[in-house]
Amino acid sequence: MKLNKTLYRALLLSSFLAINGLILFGISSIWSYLNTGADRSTMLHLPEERASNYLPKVDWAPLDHEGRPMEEQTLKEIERDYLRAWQVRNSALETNNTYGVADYYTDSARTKLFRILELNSANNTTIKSTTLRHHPKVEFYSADGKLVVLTDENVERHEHIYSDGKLILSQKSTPSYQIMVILEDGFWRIRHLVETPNENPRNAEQIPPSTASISQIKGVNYYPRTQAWDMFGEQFKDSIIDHDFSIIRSLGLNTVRLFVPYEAFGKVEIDPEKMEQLKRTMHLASKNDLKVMLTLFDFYGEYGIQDWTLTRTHAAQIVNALKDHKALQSWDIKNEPDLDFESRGKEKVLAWLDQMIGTIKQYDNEHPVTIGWSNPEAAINLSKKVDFISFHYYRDPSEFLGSYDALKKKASLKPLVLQEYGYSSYSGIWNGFLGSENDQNDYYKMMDRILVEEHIPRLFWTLYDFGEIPVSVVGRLPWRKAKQRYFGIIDRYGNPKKSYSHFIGDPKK
Amino acid sequence: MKYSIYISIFLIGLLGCRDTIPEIPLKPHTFAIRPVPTQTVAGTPIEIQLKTNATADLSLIISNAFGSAVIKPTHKKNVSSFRFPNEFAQRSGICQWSLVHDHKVYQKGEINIRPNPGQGTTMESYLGPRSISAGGTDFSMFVVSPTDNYDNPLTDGTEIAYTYQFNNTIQSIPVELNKLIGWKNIQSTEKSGRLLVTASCNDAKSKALTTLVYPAHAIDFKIDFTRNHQFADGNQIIRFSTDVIKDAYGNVISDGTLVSFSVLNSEGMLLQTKGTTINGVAKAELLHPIERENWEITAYITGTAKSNSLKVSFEAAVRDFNVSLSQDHRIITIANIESFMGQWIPDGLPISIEIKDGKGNSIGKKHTTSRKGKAVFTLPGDFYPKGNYQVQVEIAGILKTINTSLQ
Repeated sequence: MKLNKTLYRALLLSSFLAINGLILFGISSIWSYLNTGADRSTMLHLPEERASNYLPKVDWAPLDHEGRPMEEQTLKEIERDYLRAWQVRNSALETNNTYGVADYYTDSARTKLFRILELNSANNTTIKSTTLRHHPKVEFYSADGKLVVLTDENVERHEHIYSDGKLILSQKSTPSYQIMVILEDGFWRIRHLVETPNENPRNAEQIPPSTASISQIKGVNYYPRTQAWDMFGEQFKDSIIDHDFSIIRSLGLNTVRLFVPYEAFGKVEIDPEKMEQLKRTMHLASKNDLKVMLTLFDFYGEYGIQDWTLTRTHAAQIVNALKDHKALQSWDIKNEPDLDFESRGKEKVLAWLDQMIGTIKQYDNEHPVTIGWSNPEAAINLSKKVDFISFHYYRDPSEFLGSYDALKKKASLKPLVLQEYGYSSYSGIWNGFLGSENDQNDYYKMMDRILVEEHIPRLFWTLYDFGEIPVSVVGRLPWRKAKQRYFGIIDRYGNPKKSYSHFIGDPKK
Repeated sequence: MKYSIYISIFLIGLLGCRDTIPEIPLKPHTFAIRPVPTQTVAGTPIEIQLKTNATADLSLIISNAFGSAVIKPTHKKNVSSFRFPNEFAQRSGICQWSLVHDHKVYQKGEINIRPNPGQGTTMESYLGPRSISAGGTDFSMFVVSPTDNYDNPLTDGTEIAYTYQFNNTIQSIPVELNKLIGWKNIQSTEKSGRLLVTASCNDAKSKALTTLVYPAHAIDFKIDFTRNHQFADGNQIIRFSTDVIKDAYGNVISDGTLVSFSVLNSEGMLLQTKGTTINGVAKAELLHPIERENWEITAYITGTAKSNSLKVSFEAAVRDFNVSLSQDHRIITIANIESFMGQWIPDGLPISIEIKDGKGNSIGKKHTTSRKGKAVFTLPGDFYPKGNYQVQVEIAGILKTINTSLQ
């Protein structure tokens, strides 16, 4: 009876509180609804701020056209609306939805697009497409400033064509267009868009960059001792890096492999401070007589075609800033992209890598380009496109030569680089206290004997043991993290481990 | 143990039920494509036919400037054929096609589809600016974009005839289409008026578009005035007018052009009046002054033209008047204000008196206006105590001073 009473009391109290809470919530919702008035600017049909999700490279030809002289401001507006027209067209073809098309195509032009959308919608076809480069030229500007004719030659266009949700073809093309745009309601709308035959294709044969220095590579994958996978930012210190580089040099090594994280570097808008730190690192490498293999797009995992113009913008800034640096040895597009094959789709990843090789070569054709595959078997992908083939090897040294030879046979004389190899000296609960520094030393002795005999350029992993491994590197599992912490030849307190003496004693020093 | 037999039988049964994987014959696929045209005309059906043993998973991808599409073949006997949908066959420009089987492109090509003006041409014409000024330096641009029945712009080199009419002359000029458009600058004429332009291409005609040739800037002009009499009575109106203002080419300037008349009076002050032109003539008015004046008048069209300077003088209208005082000298009556013909001056003439104390210091001013040739001032005792004062009366620039002692 007493229990019942308490129960009722508790129920009453809690329901009272709950009702009060609901009433308060209701009042506050009404209050906040009444406080959100219509934004007056919505009355105007203004073009939305250009979101930075479509940034192809646009190279305007010098102005030399008929009609009225072009104003700088007008040209910017035309560029904005013209690119937007491409953007809405791409997204319309991807979704078979007409959203936004009316703003950038005139009545008669948009019906042409709509009819294709209807056709594709009926056939269940979707097309993911993007354009990476435009070379527009003003051909004509009318006296009243309301009509412009452009030509856009050799547009770099990529398309992934899906039928019933399945990718049936990825294709790259370089079409040329004649475009007539008309100023309507403050928008430069496309009136005519006609594909024309390519008159002067720009696929001049490029001389591949020299890979002579590749065979000399003897180096290390580098992160500072306390900044594993997090080299740039506030914690960046010149003195630490200078010190480490001098150690690396004293080990008789000539190359460091550095990593540029895509997101941490600011994606499209490169963080100028981090860029400066990267340049300083390059200067320090140069000071210590080291070459740098720069790995871009670390921790990037999107690959989608709608992302291509953004990654292009990111790469362009870094490549342009560093391509003349004398410490730069080669560009490594991405670290172990084959690990994303399963989660992102092999086709998608390879398509992204393929266009990125082309993009980097557009900006810098002096330095060789590679991709850091996670194993010798994956390294055959795109082997015709890269200047040299990089692969990683963490398996048993005794099987190394077998996989290496298999790759070499398929590699059609492209230089091969063992970009990462190493051994964790971790000894603890997760491996039954079976590892040791001796094992690591033996591993290096074994591997290096093969590598020296076969003259294989190589970079080992890594200089230091690390205290903390970020979750994004090997995930949360403690046995993986623990192993990852002990790959160095110097321990996390700065004391040389056994294998250090192996490198000091390198006969080829 | 008993169950384990059942379990194993069940498991074996499961294995037995498994589908046998059919052997896929690894015959190489063959594709024999019949020749595909590389040139065609919009609207003509396009079909790609081929003999192949790979019918499944076969598709043709076609793209033009507006988009891409996937088309599936129709099979007849052992011939597969792909028919281009109208969205592609009717669109001029390059149409690229790739024959795809199992992610691989077996053959690709492009078809240059030319516009098809044979079925009719449509004209789209743009003219601007729609108003220009006479004289031959200004121009309107006439842009024409002829298209075929499917809204495809015609090919470069198509001839467009531009025709324009002004007064009695009609001129026709051929222009070649280049990069989607043909264009022509239409220079303004020396005479103002309407310029009509039109264009025709093949059999299509554009509508007539008009550009107005407005007169150019005015050149310097002359002004004159009229008035009833030369007296400064503050009542009559003086009227200014310009002659017919024209531009350098003899066109009467546009109606509504604003002309400002500036009047410099004897005291160096500027009076202003404005008028807008009708048929080239602007008119403006001012009231006569109330006292003797010499005016110098110049008219301007701001930033463009000015007139000659005109001198006008006004004689005083009021010749004389009487001032009489009441018994206590506190009511001052001004009467017999006579105008130029001896008539009463018009009502409303401003009259003022200034009151000074015995030492000649001004201590007050009073204003009134005339009515029926008269005006009355009262000097109340509360403001002006008994004593000697000097009162100065001013009418139309005429001054009279009286010494008075207020009671």
